[in-house]
Order: sequence, then C-alpha cells, then structure tokens
Amino acid sequence: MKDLRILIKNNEYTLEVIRYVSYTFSNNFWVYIRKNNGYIIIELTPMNNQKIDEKKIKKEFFEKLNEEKKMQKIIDENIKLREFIIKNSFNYQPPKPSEGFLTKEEEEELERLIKEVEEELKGENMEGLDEIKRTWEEKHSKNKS
Amino acid sequence: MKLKGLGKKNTQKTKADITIPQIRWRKISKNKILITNDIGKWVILNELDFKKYLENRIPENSKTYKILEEKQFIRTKLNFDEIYSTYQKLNSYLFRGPYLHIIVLTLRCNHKCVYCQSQAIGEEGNKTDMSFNTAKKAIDIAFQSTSPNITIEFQGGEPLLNWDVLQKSIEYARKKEKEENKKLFLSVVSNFSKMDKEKAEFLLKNEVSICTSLDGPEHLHNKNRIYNAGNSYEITLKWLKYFREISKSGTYKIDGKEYRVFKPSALLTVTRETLNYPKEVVDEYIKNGIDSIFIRPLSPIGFARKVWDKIGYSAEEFLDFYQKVLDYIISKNKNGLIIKEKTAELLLRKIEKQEDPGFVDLRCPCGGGIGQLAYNYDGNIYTCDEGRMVAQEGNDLFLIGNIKDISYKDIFNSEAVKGCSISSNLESQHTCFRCVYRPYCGVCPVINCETENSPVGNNIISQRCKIYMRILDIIFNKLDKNKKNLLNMIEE
Repeated sequence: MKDLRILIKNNEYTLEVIRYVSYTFSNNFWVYIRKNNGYIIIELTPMNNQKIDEKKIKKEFFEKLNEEKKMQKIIDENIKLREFIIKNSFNYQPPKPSEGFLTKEEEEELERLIKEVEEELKGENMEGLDEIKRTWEEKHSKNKS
Repeated sequence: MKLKGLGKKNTQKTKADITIPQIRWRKISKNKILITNDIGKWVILNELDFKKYLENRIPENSKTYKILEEKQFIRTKLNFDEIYSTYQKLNSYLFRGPYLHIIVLTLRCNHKCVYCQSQAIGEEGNKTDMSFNTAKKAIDIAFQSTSPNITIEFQGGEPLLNWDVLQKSIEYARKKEKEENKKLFLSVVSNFSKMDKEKAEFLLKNEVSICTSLDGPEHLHNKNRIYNAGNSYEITLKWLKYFREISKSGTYKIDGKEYRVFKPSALLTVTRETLNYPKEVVDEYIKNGIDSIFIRPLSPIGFARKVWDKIGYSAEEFLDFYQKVLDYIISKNKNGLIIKEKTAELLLRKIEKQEDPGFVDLRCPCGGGIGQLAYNYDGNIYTCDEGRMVAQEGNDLFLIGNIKDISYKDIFNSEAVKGCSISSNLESQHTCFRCVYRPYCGVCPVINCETENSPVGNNIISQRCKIYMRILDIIFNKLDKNKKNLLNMIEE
C-alpha cells in the first residue's frame, strides 16, 4: 500500500473546490489535506490495501478539480439569482387569462385613449397647477423667508 | 417580467459577462453531455457545443441557441413567468401537505414472505390489531391535512384479518369525506387469502382501490410468498381477475346504484431470485392484464436487512435486471402501449412534463411527514412506512408520537418530521446539490440510517444513489437515441 501525494499551488483552486473533489474520492481513500509553503498537499491513502494506478488517479483528480472549478464559478455567480427565483416561485400567482394579455384591437383602443387624454391635458389651462407642488410649510409658515 | 429585487451590482454583472444560469451537467455517454436546470428542463449537447456554451460562443442565430434559450439555459434571456410556474408544477408537493396516510390495521399475516418487512407475527391472536377507536383518530388526523386530496391506504400484515375495523374505518372515512368536503381516495393492500364475495362487494360499493403483490410466474411468486394454507399465486390471480373484469366497464352496478371502479394493481418485490427472470415477470404481468409493473430495488431495512445475505443483491446486479426489463418492455410496446414500467414513468413525468408525479420517495425534501404519515396498529405515528418498519427493529428515530396525545400541529413540530426534512434536503447534500439529476431525485433518511447509521447519507458510497443515477443515465440515453420508445409511457 502506498500513499498518493498530489501537490496543488495555493492560488490555482479554492479550498472549497479542493475539499469537494477530495470528498468524491473518500469512498476508496482516506484523504488528508494540508497547507505547506504555498502549496496544498493532498494525501490519498487507499482504504483496502488495493494497488492503485497513480497516474490514472492523479489525472482523474485534476479533471475533477477543473470540472468543479467551473461548477463553483457558476454556483457563486448564481446564488442571488437562484434565491430570487425560488423565493418568487413560492409566491407566484400565474396571471389569469384575462390579465395582462390584450388583443390587437384592445391594444389599439388603449393607445387611442391614452393619446386622447394626453391631448385633453395639453389643451387645459395649466395655470395654478404649480400651487399643488408647494408644501404646507411653504404656503402657511409664518417664518417665510 | 423584469428582474426586480436583485442588487445593482449583480444586474450589471449579468449584462456584462454572466450568461450561464444555475446548471448542472454530466457526461452520459461518449461525447454526450447532459445539462439540466432547477426547473427540470434538459438539453444534451456534444462536448464541443458544451464547451462553446460555457464560453458563451454559441451563435445566437443557431438552432442550439434557440433550444437553450427556450429551455431557460441562457441567463440573459430567462422567462421568469415560465420559470416560476414550472418550478411550482415540478414541486407542487411543497404546497400541499401530507396526502398519503398509511394505516396499519394489524401486524398479523398468514403469509411468511422471504422479504417481509411488515414483521408479520402469524395469523392467530389479536394483540397487534388496531382498534376502531385508534383507526378513527388516524382518519381524523388525515382529514386535518392541508392537502385538498387525501389517500388512505389500509395495509398490514394482512388488513383483511382485521375486517371488522377495516369495514368500520372505510364507512367512517366516507362519512367524513362528505362532512369535510375533501376528495378521498381509499386503497387496500391485500394478499387476497381472506377475500370473499361479500368483502369484495363491500370494497366495490365503497369505491376502494385494490392492490396486491404479484412476484412473477407461479414458481417465483410462491417461492417468495410462502403460504402454507394454499397456493398464494392461484389465490392472487383469481381475485386479480375478478376485480379486473369488473373494472373493465369503469363502473360497478348493484341495487340500482353505480360505483366507480379502479383497475386493480399489483406490486413486484425484486429478490435475488427475481433477477434471473426479467422477461418472465413482464410476461406474467401482461398475461394477467396488468398494464404497469414497478421495478424497485429491495430496501435493506427492517426484516429484509436481517436476511440480506439470502435475498439481497448489489446495485450492479439490480441495474442489469432493470435494463433488461426496460428493454424488453420497450420491445413489447413497439406496436402500441401494452405495459409501463413505473419507475421510468414517474421519472419521465418529471423529465418531460416537469410534473410532480406524487411519488414520495423521490423528492426534496423526502415525503416523510410532509407528504405521508404511517399510523401503526398501536397508534404510534411515523414519518413513513419505512420509518415504522425500522421502529419494529428498535430504531425510534422516525416516531412522531402516539395518536392519543398528539395534535396535527404537534406532528409538524416534531423532531422526527423536522429531522427527516432537514436530512433529505438536497440543497445541503454536497454531491446532490451538484448532481445533474437534482431536479428529479431524492434521498431516503430511513435507508441512510439503516445502511450508514445517519439520516444524512453519504452519496459517495450509497447503493441507492448509484441505482437512481444509473437508471436516469439509462433513461436519458434512451431519450437521446429514440424518444418515442419511452414517451408512450407517459401518454394519457
């Protein structure tokens, strides 16, 4: 039985990624993870004294690291969006068929009415309308400047 | 719909360079990568296209891009209304409450099946019979469920051995149905050994659905289901035929009244012996006019765990059997649907229609407590029937309490129900969260407890995980090659 050592540069993969990939090897190996001089050292000790193909295991380990790195990036980028979607899915009320969907004729009618109201507003005497923008203090305060 | 509520920073980043929403992927065959998303939509890409997809290099005018967009795999083009409604549809069980209520009327049984998990204790005596008072309380709790539809399943042991209580319980439940305005579905699981015309008539008049066990051809059925007082296989077939004939017209007419009739169903338990007869079990079901066969692995829990060396098998052995059965069923269905395989059907409903098929075993969280409750003969309530079985072996982890001193609210505040939900939440299971089959799968805390001594399992070594992963691999490979072969199983 021989232990297998895998060296990974500290900044190449996050510890989270390394930990997850190590976990997936835990059915056949005891896995030890250590930090040393800018490297992460993974030690894989076979559980059942079985012979291991070092080259094959190392290749598999790095393939999984690269895969997990991609996955972790996607998870990190989507955490907020995912929470948002799930939260909204729980409260979602599908629109009733009559809501939110207008026929072409109804849309045209709506546009015509909006234009009509806009024209009416343009024609109205707007004088004095500014008065409503003033606050109660501005109108009635004794300490007017 | 606009994306409201997200931070400004996040929104800006989305527009700039994030094009992939939360996805998961897995290589399912040479050069084929399956990708899925949270709402259960899926696409199979070749390795080159998958690489391009991750790097946002798929041309917007290509067919592949259109498919990815339509199935919500392009983050900048998500249709939120569709996502929300599909999420609700796929996970509709989260919005209901427990609808399956299993009432164990007795532990007595006159069969001695090799795998029996009911811990049957023989036919004599009545110490393990449920009283009507207890059954009534169980039915009252079932009707308090927030679920608009409920199923009450009477089982045992052999429930017909406690006929008086079964009869009264059915009448009480039907009366309650009218008072509570809740849709009620009743079911009895019986080996038919105590069935007679009078009992059958009562069940038909009360629109009770009938389920039995059929373990394959005669030699196999009788080897698994030992019955000293007669031929279990012959009795099973006699009553299956009786109920099937009546169900053909869809109604049962008697005394000038009409009652709804359901097709009788049968369950197959796969033991090591069964693995030798994949075609024969399918032929047996077809021969007897049963249009659905449920190929499930035997669970190493309760009594079956004790005799696992004799009747159990490895995940690989089961999968080999499953593949043979499915291939055989597909070949039989080539000229029109004759028989469905239930596991494939349940999964296909999720995969193809993003529907919740109402199957409590494959959910997140599992159905224990929040989807089903099991009431033992003595009034003890468990999160599920499997939880009840392991309690018979001395593990009370899934015991919620006793019916005599528990309220509906207490049930959901119990440690058993909360523990079951937490331990089966795939979001917190490292491998499950990343698994491409996350939207379709679920874990079982009871099996985890029995095989790994913890309700939170380790899916790296779980045989159950291996089985469902491989079954889903088989299904997706078949969908990729010839969809039509499988999809007839979910056609209405």
